Parts: sequence; C-alpha cells; structure tokens
Amino acid sequence: MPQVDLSPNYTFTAGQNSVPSFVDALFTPRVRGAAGFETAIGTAAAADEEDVMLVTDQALQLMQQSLWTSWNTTVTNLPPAIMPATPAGTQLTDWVFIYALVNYIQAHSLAMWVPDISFVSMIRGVPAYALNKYSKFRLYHSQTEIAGGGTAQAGNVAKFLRLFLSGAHVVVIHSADDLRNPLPSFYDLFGQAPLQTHSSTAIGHSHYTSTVALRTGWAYPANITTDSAPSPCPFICALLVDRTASRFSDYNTFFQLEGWPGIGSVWTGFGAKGRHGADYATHQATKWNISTYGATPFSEKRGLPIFLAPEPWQPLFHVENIARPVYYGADTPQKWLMQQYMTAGTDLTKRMLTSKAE
Amino acid sequence: MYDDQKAEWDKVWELGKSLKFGVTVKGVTTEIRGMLDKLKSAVTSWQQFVAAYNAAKPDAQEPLQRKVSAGAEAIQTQLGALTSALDKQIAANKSTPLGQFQLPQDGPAVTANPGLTALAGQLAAAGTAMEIEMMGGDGGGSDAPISLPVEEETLPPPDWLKTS
Repeated sequence: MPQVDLSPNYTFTAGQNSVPSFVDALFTPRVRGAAGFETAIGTAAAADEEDVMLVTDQALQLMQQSLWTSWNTTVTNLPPAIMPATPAGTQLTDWVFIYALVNYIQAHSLAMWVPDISFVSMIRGVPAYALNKYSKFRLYHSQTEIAGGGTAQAGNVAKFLRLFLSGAHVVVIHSADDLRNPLPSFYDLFGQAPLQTHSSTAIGHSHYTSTVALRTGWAYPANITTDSAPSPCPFICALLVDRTASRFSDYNTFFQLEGWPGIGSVWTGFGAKGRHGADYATHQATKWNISTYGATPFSEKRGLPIFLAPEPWQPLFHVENIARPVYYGADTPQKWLMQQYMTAGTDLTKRMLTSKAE
Repeated sequence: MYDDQKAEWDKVWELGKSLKFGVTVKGVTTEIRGMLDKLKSAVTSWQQFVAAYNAAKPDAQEPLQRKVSAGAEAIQTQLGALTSALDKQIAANKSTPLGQFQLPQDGPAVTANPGLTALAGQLAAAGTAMEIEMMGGDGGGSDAPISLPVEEETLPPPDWLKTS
C-alpha cells in the first residue's frame, strides 16, 4: 500500500507541495482502496502494530511538529489572558483546537491512559484482541517544566498526537459519576469561544448509540463541506466531538479524528457515500477506526478507548464481562459494544479470578 | 427506554385530541391539527422500526438502523415546524383584543391558552425521551469493577522536536 509523502517546505494553501494536495492524495483509490486498506489492517493487527499509516514517517512527523508547535505555544503562554496569535507553521483551526485542548489538560492536570493489547485471532476478517494493561502518560507540564521551556512531556505528547492522527477514540473523563471532583464539560467548550466559531453540528454518527446519534455532536472544523480539501487546508479535517451519554446525565466527552466529515443529510444517507462512506465501509469490515491519515484498533466499540483524565482516576473494568471498561456512558452492557472482538489478557484474567474468589 | 418515549408520545396525542387552537394566525398556511396528525403518523412508523430494531439480531440491524435514523430526522424536522407554529399561535392568541368576535370553532378568545402551552411542553418531553432512546441509555452500572494494571511511562522527546 503506497504511503503519501509531504515535503518539509509544504504550504497550507493549494499548490505544489501543499497540504490540500497531500490530503486529497490520501483519498485516491491507489492509496485508500478498500481491499488494500483492509489487507494492510489485517497484516498490522497480526503483527501487533497499533496503527496503519497512509502517510510516510516524514509526513507524520511534520504533522506532529506543527501540532506540537501549537501545544508548546499554549503551554508557555499560560495563563491565557489573551489568546496568542496563530503560531507560524500552524493553521488557524488546528491551533484553536490544540489551544483549547491543552488549556483543559493544563487546568485539570490530565494524563493519558493507553490500552496495551495483543492480537488473538481474526474472527470473520475482524481482528480480535486481548487487553493486558493500561499505560499512563502524563500530558500536562508542571510549572517547573514550563519554566524550562515546556518540552519535558514532548515524548508523551508525540505519542498522543500519533494516536490522535491515526483515529484513536479518546474519552475525556469529567463525569461526576467517574470522578470525586468532577470537571467542567469538555464538550461544552465547543459551544463557546474560541472553538464555537469553527464548529458545526455533526449530521449524525454511530458512537454510544445502537442506532445513530443525530445532531448531538460537533463537527470540527466547520468549513469543510465538500469531498475535497479546502485551501488553506488544516491537518485536523474531520474531528468529531460528542457526549458518551444523554445531555441530561453525567456524561463524559469523546473525540476522534475521522477520515472526512459526513457530507449531506439524512436523505443522502448521512454521508454514507463519498469519502466518509468509503471509510465507514472499511471500519465496518475491520472494526478499526479510520482517520484521514491512517487507522487504529483503539475504538470504544471494542472497549479500547484512550482516556484523558486527572491523575487520581484509574481505569476500571467490570468483572462479569471479560474486557469492559467502566466510565459513564459505557457502564452497563451496551448494544454497540462488540465484546466478541475483545478478551482479557493473562494478568487481567488472574485479577478477575482473584476478585471473584474474594 | 422504548416504553418511556412511547408514554411521552401518547401524552402528546392525548393532549392534542380535543384541543382548541384559537384565532387564525396570519401567515400560517398549515393548521396545527394537520401537523399533529402528520407527526403522529411519522412517530408511529418510527416506533415500529425501533421495536423491530430492538428485536433484531445484530446482523439484521443495519438496514433497520437507517430507517430508524431517517425516521428520527423527519420527526425532528416536523417537531421544529410544529413548535414554531405553536409559538406563533400562542403569541397570536395573546395579542387578540379581548372581546373580539370569534367563531366558535376558533376556540377561546383568551390571552393565554394553557392547553397549547402544555402541548408545547409535552412535545419537548417526548423529543427528550426520543433522544435518550437514540443514545442507548444512561450507562449507569451497579456491579463492582476491578482496577487494571497500570504502568506509568515517560517517553523521550522525539527527534523532530524543535524548541525554538
């Protein structure tokens, strides 16, 4: 499967060596053909790889670097009395999202929890995994680290950015049901400045619902309304943000980078055609999440989300189900959880047996 | 959840049965009674799809899922139009001078029609119950969970890091 490259002297506006042409190249049949994509996912799964990237290492690094610039600019300008201007080498909407995310991470001292999984088998073409443990990566910088340039957690941030760019499902834990000291809603930030200006209502999506969640989520950025890259084009082209449960409950927030926004309306099938529709078909065949730049097994539908939460929080699992994470929105067995594709690794199994014996 | 939303919608139909709407509203070409009947038809059809979806095996759910979604979208659109018409009707009733001659079928010439306000409130409640049905529950759990092994890691800065 050919990977798309990006030149180090790229521009965000259309032209040779530009982000628009780089992004559009990712959606050509040569790169994103369903058969080749699905085969690559199967091969990566069997090799216990955490993602399949449609872009070269160089392109991935350039994207991480641009997003890191926004991250570091935010961290080194706290507290944000006035929002700094868009840093050089970044695009406005990328900058605004990272700025809002990093302010939230810093304000609430968030870390990231990543599942450690191992491939078990293919079930009718779908990779099934065992969950072994979680790894925790601190994402916020301390005051001392900020004084030193705010780069101490750059390795962890780079890990987050790779997971994010490959389409990992990220749950921000802020519910009163999960935390002794609940945090403000991350979802609500998209209805406020500076994110609101660049956010629109998502037509519909298939997360945390047995059917389709209609017009509850945010699509970010708002200015991508056709199946081609705009000019200038950001790196974050298809961010989906929504709640893990009804707005009338103590919900958490999730976000993930999708392949491309669903274009159209319910009458044209929620973007079931075009770029979004093609990616959804690949997702259905493999149960991997598909982003603009790659694919990842870290989907909530198989009980493998990435978590962002304040440090006292710990990931918990229910004992009567072999690998079902506990957080508000997924506590009870949900119709959308695909339990046949997840199991417990040896350590977790031992813990479950011990817990049951006690 | 299915029963909850059905109960809320049933209250809507009950409220709408014998409701008098009031004065003729300028600029409103569709009468509220007709909108309500059309909404009932759409909701009944949607509820049938939801029931079929809930009973279907996972492999058979996808085509039903699309029908449920399309139905819900149509209902949302109709709900928006109906709520807007109700708002106009309530406003028109309020602004009608007391004592103005009205035909009996126009309903009460009063400054407020509590039945209309109740209907608007019940429509909102039904919409909410429908949203909860679509969101797949509230997610509350009762059994004791266990913790997972967690290893804390700090990764080295990447090669591409530029601090300038």
